[in-house]
Amino acid sequence: MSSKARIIETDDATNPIAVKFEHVTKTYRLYKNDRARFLAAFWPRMHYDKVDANKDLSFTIERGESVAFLGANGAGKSTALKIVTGVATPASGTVEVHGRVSALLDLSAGFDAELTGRENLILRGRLWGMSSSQIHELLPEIADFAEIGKFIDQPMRTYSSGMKTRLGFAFASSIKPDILILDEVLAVGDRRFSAKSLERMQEIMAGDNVTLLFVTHSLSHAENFCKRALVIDHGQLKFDGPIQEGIEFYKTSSS
Amino acid sequence: MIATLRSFFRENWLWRSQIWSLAVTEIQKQVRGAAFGWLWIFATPTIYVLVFAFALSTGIRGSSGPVNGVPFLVWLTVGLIPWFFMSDMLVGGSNVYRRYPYLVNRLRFPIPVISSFFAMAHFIIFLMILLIVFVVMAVMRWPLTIYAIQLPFLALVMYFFWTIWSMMASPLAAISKDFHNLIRALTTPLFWLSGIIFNISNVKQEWLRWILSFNPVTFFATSFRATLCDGYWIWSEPRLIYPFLGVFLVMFILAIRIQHRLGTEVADVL
Repeated sequence: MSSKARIIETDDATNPIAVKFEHVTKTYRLYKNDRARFLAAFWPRMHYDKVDANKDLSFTIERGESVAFLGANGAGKSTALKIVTGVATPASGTVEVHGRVSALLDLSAGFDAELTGRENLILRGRLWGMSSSQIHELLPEIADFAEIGKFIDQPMRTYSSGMKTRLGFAFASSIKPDILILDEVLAVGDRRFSAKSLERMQEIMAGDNVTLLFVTHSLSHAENFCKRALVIDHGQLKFDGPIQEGIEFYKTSSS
Repeated sequence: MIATLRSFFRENWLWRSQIWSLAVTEIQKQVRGAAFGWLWIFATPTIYVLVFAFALSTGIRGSSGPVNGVPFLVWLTVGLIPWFFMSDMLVGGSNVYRRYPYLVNRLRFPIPVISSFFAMAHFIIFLMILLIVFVVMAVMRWPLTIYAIQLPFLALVMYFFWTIWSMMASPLAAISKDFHNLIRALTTPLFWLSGIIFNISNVKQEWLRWILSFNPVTFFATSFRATLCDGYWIWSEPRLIYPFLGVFLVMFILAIRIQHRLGTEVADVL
């Protein structure tokens, strides 16, 4: 699709800016049905409805910041994070991402159901650009943290959703990304694993200049980790400021 | 359009080591779940060759004698083995985004490259089952000639052609199940109309032969036979080459256009 959007992605983790959105709009094209969408590939004037999942969104996230994205379901938080990850392309605006992004976008965590946990971790490590020896060094630690046990050599289709998410979180948080994106991840694990994950995140945030983008409906988690909140409603940015004020704003605007 | 093409080559270069890992993964997925996984890679084509040989020699009247002096089994095997690669690419290769949805919408990965590693994996499998051809040739005492040096070149053309096919068809299959069903429905006719199991030069009507020559499967079956059976240079046969080049060119342009137009939409609809 020829979009007017400009996307600048670098691996430069020394850039003081981690993520920058300027007037970013993401439009989903809704066709009447799949046939209409198919025909549109050859006949661009095919009619479709537009839905703006993100509308004229502008914000800058600096290196090392931890930012909570607050908003009701369908507000456009996940879409924004998909754009940062690079799996969704905006229709217009400018997106800058500096540094390597590790994202946990949903429960399935991007694993191949046919491969075993171990094979998935090896593949993901390779996709991340790690050498075999780096991967094999990291593997036991990830499996251990995720508490997968003997299931590590079973195909992932046999995993429960909790196991998949635990493994996804363990991987995403172990590979030392510059920018870590967590979308509704802590909601699924049991309380003990949540506590462990929170501890891991604390460690990550205390350490190097990791930038955290965090979607959650748990306001206490948001408050624990993030100093800043962005409140998004109907695709638009409604609030950008300190976390306490953001939470207050979100509470009053959603009630 | 040029930009789409350039970024395709750049992405393939940047992700070359990952392409290799993913191709290995794809092969693993093929052989997995069965105790004799690797055996099946060879067993299925062998069974097909034998069944076709049987059906054509006993069932279908008088079609199992030597073909232009080439032993029937050699002639059949040389035409049939590339088909397994082509049928994998026709059906599976046209639907790679649904096969690897997480590379499209969970991880940052250039989607045209999915076609690259899928084709590479199945091409490696093709190179393995090519062994069957050489075994049959050895058993039937059919010699290799100078024309066999076309083989690597021909194999590479086949690999590129079907990679581009996959890049063209997969975005369409991702947004439309109908398209994928259409391809599935066309796969068997493309096989039967390809000249894999009959000699295309026996078709009497000039116009019919001309139409059939636009089937890329015909081009590859005939060319592999030129290389290993009939012994002539592929480029000495313009009636074979030009229709194929035409199809290749049209498909190439369509692939770039479709990737350019739908490339970013695929992630939104999967």
